[in-house]
Amino acid sequence: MTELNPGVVESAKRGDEEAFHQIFTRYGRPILSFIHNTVQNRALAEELAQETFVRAYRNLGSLRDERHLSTWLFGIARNVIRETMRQYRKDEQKVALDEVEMVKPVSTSILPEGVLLDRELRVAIQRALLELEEDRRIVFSLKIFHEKSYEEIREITGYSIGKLKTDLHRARQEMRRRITRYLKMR
Amino acid sequence: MLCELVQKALPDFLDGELTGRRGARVQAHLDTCHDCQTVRLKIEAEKAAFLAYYECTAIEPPEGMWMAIRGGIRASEGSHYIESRPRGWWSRMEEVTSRAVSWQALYAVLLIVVSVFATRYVVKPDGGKPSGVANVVSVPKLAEPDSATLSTSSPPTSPSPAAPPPVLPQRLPVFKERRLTEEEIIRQQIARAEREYQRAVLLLSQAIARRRDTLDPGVIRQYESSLALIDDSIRQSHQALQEMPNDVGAGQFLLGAYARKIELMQDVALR
Repeated sequence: MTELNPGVVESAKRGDEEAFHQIFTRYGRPILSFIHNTVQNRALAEELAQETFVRAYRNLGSLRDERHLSTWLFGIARNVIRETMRQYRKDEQKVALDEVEMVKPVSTSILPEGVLLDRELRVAIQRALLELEEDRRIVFSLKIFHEKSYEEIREITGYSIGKLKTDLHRARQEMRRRITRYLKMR
Repeated sequence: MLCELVQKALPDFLDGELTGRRGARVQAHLDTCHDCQTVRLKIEAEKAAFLAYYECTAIEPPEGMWMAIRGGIRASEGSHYIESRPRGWWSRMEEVTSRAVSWQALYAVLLIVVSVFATRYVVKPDGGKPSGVANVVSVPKLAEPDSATLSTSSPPTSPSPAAPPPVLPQRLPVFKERRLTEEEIIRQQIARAEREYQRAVLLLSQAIARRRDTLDPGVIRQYESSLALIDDSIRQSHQALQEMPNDVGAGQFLLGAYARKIELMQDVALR
């Protein structure tokens, strides 16, 4: 994934839409994927990702250090998700496992380090993610999928490092419990 | 015991979270312990599976998402542009000033529009006067901040130094006990519109001068070019009214030029 050219963020702060388009091109996929992993609904994820970038454009002036752009964007996405989820009652968020949108793989070609991800393992991971509590799913997604540090996740979520470590430890335990047999079969 | 502690620390170690002496101790133990190396391989296999899951299921933004975001930005730009600026005390002052500028400009435009319509409604097109009224409007000589004033780096604090200060009409008859004639009402409206216009132009000029460095050079060029044309129209209208104070058409044209100028400056000042 290519990094942004120097000066792009400053240009975007001055209202250069083309510069902001470059930011969107760089971070659109990870932001949309993070939101989708959290809300597990494609249409809603696209809507929330759109809202995230509109808010980001409006508030670019508040970004003091452009090296923290990624963390800052994820923080906005997290806030957008939180505000949306508050509108729903807890019971309405639960989706029957057989109603979960089946995640279609983008590519079935051989992945890095020769890892082949078969359908059963993919479905198992998706279902295991769905079973996690929202906080643990978010921390797991940011740590494992997006490789954020504890400090960055703390900035994104506002949670303490202690809570993050506990949530991540428990998320790993639950994920391991659900997918170990699929890993052993390989 | 040591293996238990190392295996507990392995995920953070593999994520690069353990640095310094603690990381060095874990590495040193891994170099000598077969059981902990096995656990390390399992954790790495899990992590590879999760990363592979992410890589093959991560969603690319659909084709229309950027256009939708642009639409959202444009829709919110008018009312939220101030939010993108740092929220220090100066930006709050600018926010208040911008609102004042906006209301001033709007008020001036409304007054000018009312004056134009009132003039058209009451004064006959052939210049004739309804019976029993006083002389028609004599437009006061007012200073005109023109485009040359805005090319300087410091915000102008007053209209062009070469122009005389605003002068209120001096030939208004003083009627204590009778109603004003329609033309007198129009004259007063026009004079008031011109006062508001001058105030609006001053505030907008200051606002534009403050923001000049942040505006696109192409926008500035286009603005100065349009402003020069409108100022030229205003000068010609003033000249025409000086030669023929009864020329209603020139008065209407002048007020229309005022309104166009304010709209142009407001568009740039609040961009």
